[in-house]
Amino acid sequence: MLNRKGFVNIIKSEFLSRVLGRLIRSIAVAFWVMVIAFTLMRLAPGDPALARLGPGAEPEAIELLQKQLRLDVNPLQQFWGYFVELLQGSLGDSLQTSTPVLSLIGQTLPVTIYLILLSTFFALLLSIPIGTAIAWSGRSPLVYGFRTITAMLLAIPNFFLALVGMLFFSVKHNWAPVFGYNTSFPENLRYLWLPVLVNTIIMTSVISRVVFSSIVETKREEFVETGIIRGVGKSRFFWFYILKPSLAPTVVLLSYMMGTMLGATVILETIFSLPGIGRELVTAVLVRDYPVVQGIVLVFGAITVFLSFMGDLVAYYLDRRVKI
Amino acid sequence: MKRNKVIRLLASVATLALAASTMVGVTTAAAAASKTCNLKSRPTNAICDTFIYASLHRVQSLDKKAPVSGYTESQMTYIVQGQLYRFDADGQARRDLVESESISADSLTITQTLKSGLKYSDGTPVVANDAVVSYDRWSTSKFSAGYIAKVDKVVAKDSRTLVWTLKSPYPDFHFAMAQEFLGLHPGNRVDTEAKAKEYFKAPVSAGPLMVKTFNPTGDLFEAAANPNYWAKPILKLLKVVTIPDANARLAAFQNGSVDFVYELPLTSKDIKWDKTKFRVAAALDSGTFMIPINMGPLQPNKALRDNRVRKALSLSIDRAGIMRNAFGGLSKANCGMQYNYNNPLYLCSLPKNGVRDISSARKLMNQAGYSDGFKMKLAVPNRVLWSEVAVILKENWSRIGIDVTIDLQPDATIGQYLNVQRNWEIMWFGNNAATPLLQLNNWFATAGLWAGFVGYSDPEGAKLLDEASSMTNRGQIRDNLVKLEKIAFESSHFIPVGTRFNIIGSNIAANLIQPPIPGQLEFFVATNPALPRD
Amino acid sequence: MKEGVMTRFRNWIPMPGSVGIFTGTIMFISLVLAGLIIPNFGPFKANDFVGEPFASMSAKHPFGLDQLGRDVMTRTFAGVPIDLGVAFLGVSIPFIIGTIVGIFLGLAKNRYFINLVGSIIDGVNAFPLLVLAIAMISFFGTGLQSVIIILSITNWARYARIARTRAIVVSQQNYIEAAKTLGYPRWRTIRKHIVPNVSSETIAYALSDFILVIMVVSGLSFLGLAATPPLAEWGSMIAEGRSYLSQAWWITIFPGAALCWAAVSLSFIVEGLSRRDGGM
Repeated sequence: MLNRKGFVNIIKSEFLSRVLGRLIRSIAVAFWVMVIAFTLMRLAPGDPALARLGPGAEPEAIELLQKQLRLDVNPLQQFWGYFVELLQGSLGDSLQTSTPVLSLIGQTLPVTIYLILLSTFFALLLSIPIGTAIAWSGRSPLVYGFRTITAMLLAIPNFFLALVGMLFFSVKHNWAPVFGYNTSFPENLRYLWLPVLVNTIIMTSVISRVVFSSIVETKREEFVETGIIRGVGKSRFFWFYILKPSLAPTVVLLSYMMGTMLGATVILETIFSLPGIGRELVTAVLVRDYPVVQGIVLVFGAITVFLSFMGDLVAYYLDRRVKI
Repeated sequence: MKRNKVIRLLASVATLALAASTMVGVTTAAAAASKTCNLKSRPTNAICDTFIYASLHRVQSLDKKAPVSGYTESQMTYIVQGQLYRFDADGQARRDLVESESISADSLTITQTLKSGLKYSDGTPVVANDAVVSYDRWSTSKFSAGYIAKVDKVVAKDSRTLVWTLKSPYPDFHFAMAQEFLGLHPGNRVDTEAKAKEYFKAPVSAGPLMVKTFNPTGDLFEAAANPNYWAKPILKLLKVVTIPDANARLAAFQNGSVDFVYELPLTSKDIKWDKTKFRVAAALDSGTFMIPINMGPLQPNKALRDNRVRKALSLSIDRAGIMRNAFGGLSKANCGMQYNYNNPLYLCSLPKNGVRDISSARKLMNQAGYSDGFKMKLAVPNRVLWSEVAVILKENWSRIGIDVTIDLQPDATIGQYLNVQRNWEIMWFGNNAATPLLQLNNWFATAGLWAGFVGYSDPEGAKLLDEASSMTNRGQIRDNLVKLEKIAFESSHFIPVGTRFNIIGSNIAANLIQPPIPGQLEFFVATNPALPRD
Repeated sequence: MKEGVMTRFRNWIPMPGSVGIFTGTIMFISLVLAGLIIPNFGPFKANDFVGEPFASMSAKHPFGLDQLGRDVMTRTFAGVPIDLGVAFLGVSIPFIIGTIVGIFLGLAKNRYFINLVGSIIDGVNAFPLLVLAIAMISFFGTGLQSVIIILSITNWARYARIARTRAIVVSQQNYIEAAKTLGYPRWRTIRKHIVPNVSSETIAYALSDFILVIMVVSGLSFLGLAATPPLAEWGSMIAEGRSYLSQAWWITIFPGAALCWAAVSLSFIVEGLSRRDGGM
C-alpha cells in the first residue's frame, strides 16, 4: 500500500532521475554546440586568414593571423586548444580591437536579454488570459477570428512591423527615441518600449495559439471529466486540472521561442540602434572579425540549450504532479 | 466563475502595464539648447557644457598610423592631440603650439620656436623632440607622406626649437604642419611601434581637449577640456555617439538628442526646419568624388590595365546624371580633377568637359580588343547615397558592354581592401585635401596617399606637381597643372566625377564646434584666445 | 454527370479549413503569376531608369518611382521569383537531406549511434536559424548563393528531427510488422510505407518552414548580407527605401506589402491544413 510518504519518495526519485537524464542530454548537446561553433569557421572553402587579409598581405601578417586563429596546427589540436581556452574562461580576442570577446559579450548581452525578458513577460501576461478565455468559451466565430488574426500577425516580418512602428512613433510623433541606450533602470524603458512592443505582438500571437490548443486538448482529458463529476472547487479545478497541465507545452515552446527571439532581435537591434549582442554580431560579420562571430554564436547556442533544459524541467514539474 | 473574473482582471492589468511602460517611454520635448551655446553664440561669448556629435563610425583607434573604422577616428584624434599648426574653422592653418617661426632667405630652412611651459594633459612637458619623433613616424607611414616629401630633415636644436630643412621651397608648408599625422605625443612613449600600440590605448593630450572615455568596442567616445592647453576651449565635454544608420542620425537630430550630425540623408534638405533651433546645410567640401582603379600587381582584372579601357570608362559615365540623380543636384559635375569650390586653380581637362561620349568610349574599347566587354567588380563604401551612385555607374558602363558587380562594404572593410588586401579592381570614393595642390599631391605625388593605394605614380606627373608646389606665380602653377591633368586623363587611373559635399546639421552657430568645412578629417573647437591669425 | 459533380462539390465544402486553404492558395498563385507576368511582359524593366526619381503613384506607375527613377511596381513583382525562388531552394534541399537522415536515424538499431547523431541534430537545432545564417555569412561571403548553401547546411536538422520521430512511430505500426513477417524485403517496406508517411509530415512542416525561410532571406538582405544592389529583392528594397520613408514611403511599403502578402497567404494555407487535420 502506498502511504503518503512513500508516494512522495517515489515522485522525488523519479524527478531526480529525469533531471539527471535531461542534464546529461543537455551537456551532450552543449558539447556539439561547441563543436559546431568551432567548425563554422572551417566549413567555408579556402583559408579564413587569407580570405580576411587577401593575397596582398605580407606573409608574416598572414602567418600571424593563422596562428591567432589556430589554423596552423591540425584540426584536433585546434579543437583542443579552443576547448582549453574555453575552460579557462576565454573566447579569444577581437581581431579589430584586440579586446577580449568575453568582455564585448558581457557589455552587449544584458541589453538583448533585458529586451527579451521584457517581451516575454508582457507576452505571457497577454497570451495566457487571451488563449484561455477563447479556448474556454469555445464559440466558433471567436475561435475562427482569433486563429485568423494571429496567423496574419505571425506572417508579418518583424522588421517591417518595426519600421512602420518607427515611422509612426519616432518620426511622425516623437514618442520614442530613435537611437541610443541608457543602462540604468527605468531610463532604459524609454529606449526599449517600441522594440518590446513589436516583439510582444509577435510572441503573443504564437504563445496564445499554443495556450489555446493545449487548453482545448486538456479539456478533453479524462481527469477533467472526473474532476467535474467529483465536484472539485472551481478555482482549484481550474488551476490543477486545466491550466497547469496546459502550461507544460507552453513552457516548452516558450524556451524554444526565446531562443528564436534571440535571432529575430538581431534585426530589431539594427533598426533601433540598440547596443545589443545581435547588432554586435552583424557588425563583426561585416568586418569579418572571426573570433567575435564564433564567440557570439557559441553564447547563443549555450543560452538556447540552457533555456530548453530549464523549460523541460519546469514543464515536468507542471505536468507530473497532478494530485489525484 | 471567480477564476474567469480573475483572468479578466489579469488581462486588463497586463494591458495597463504595457500602456504604463509606454507612457514611461514617452519622450519629453526636444532638449533645448542652452542659453550660451546656441545658434546665436559667438566664439567670444559661447560656453558649451556638453556637445553631442552623432558619427558614422565608432572611435576604435587614436593612432593615425593604425586607423580602424573610418574618418571619425581622424577627427577625434585631431582634437585630442597637440599640433604645431592647427586648422581653424575656415580650414586655414594657424599656429598652435608654435610661438614664432622664421624662414631663411632661400626658403629652405624654417626655424620654429614652441611656446614656453607647454605640458601634456598629464603634466609631462612638451619638447621639440616630440615633433621629430612624430615626423619620423609619419614619413615612414603610407599616409600622405607625400605632403612632407619636400622635407629633407628636421632637428630639435633644443627643447623648444625645431629646424626644418627643405629640399625645395614649399608654400603649402603650413598645411602640412597642420595635418593630423604630425600630432605631438611624448617622444619616449611612441618611438617604437610596440610602445606606440600601448600608448595609444590611453594617449595624453597637448591639444584643446583630452580623452575622457575611450572604449574601442563601445558606441561612446568622450573628450573633456584640457586644463593644460594654452587657451580655454569653449566646450567642456564633447560626446561622440555612434549611429551608423543615416535615418537614425536624422531622427536623433530632429528630436534634439544630438547636437551635430554629418552625412544626413538626402531627404533632410526637404524637411521644414525650425530655423531658430536647427542649422542644416549642404556644404561643399574641398574634395572630388572620384573612381580610383587599382594599378598594383595583385589587381586581377587584365582589362583594367589597358589605359584605353580606363579612358573608355571615363568617357562613358554620365557625370551630370550621377550628380543629379544620386546627389539631388546638390553639387555639380566636374570637368577636371580638382575640386570646384573656392579654387582659383580649377581647370577643365576632360574631353568635351566631361560630358558623356559613348561612341568614343566604344571606339576605345574596340581598339583595346574588348568589343564584347568584360566583367568588373566595383567596391563601394556604404555611405549615404553611394549605393545609388553604384547602380547608376553599373547602368552607364553596361552600355559599353561591361558587366559590373557591386561590392558594398563598410568603411572598415574598404580600409582593409586599400591597406592590406590590395586586390580590389575599381572603387568609388573621394579625395579631399586642404588645398588644390595637396589634393593633387594625394593622387600624383610619388608618396601620395592615393598613389600609394593604387600602387602607381607617373614620374613625369610627379615632377610637374613637385615643381608646381614650389612655385608662387599662379600662371606658372597653372601651366604645370594643365600638363599634369592631361597626363592624368591619358592614364585615367583616377576618374573624377564631381565636387564632394555632404549635408550637415547643427544646433549651434558656425565656427564654434565642427569639422572645418574644407576637408573633413579634422575637427575644430573654438578657443579663447583663438588661434592667432597671422 | 451533373449530379455526380454537385454531390462531390457539396461533400467538399463543409470540410473545416477549406476556406483558409482556398484563400491562401488563390493569394499565393496570384502573386506568383504577377511575378512571372509583370516583370517580363510589362511596359518597364526592373532595372531601367524610366522617369523622375521619387515620382508619386500615377496611372502610368501605380506604385510610383523609386529614388533612381525605377518603376516600383515592376521591381516589387520582379522580387517574386527571387525571394520565393531562393526560399524554395532553401526549403527543398534541407527537406530532402533532413528527411533522408531522419528516416535513416529512425530505423537505426544501434543505440549509441542514435544518441550520437540525435544529439548532433539537437546541437544544430540549438542555434536560432537567423543567427547561424548571419554568422556563416562571415565565412562564406555575402550573396544569395551563400544563403542557399548555408540554409542547406543548417536547416536540414529541423526536418531530420521530425522525420526521425515519425519514422520511429511508423516503423512500430502493425502493418510494418506484418510485412516483415510476410517476408517482404526491407527496402520495399521503407519505400512503400515509411517514406510516404514520413514525407507527408515533413512536407507539412516544409510549408510553414517556407514562411520562415522567406523571412530569413529577406531579413538577411535587409541587413545587407545577401542580395546586392541593384537586385530587386524585397528585403534590400525595404532597406533602401528606409532613408526616404517620410518623403517617398512607397519605395519601402510596396515591397513590404508583397512580402506580407506572400507570408500571409502561406500562413492561411498552413492554418487551413492544420484545422482540417486537427481541431477546432
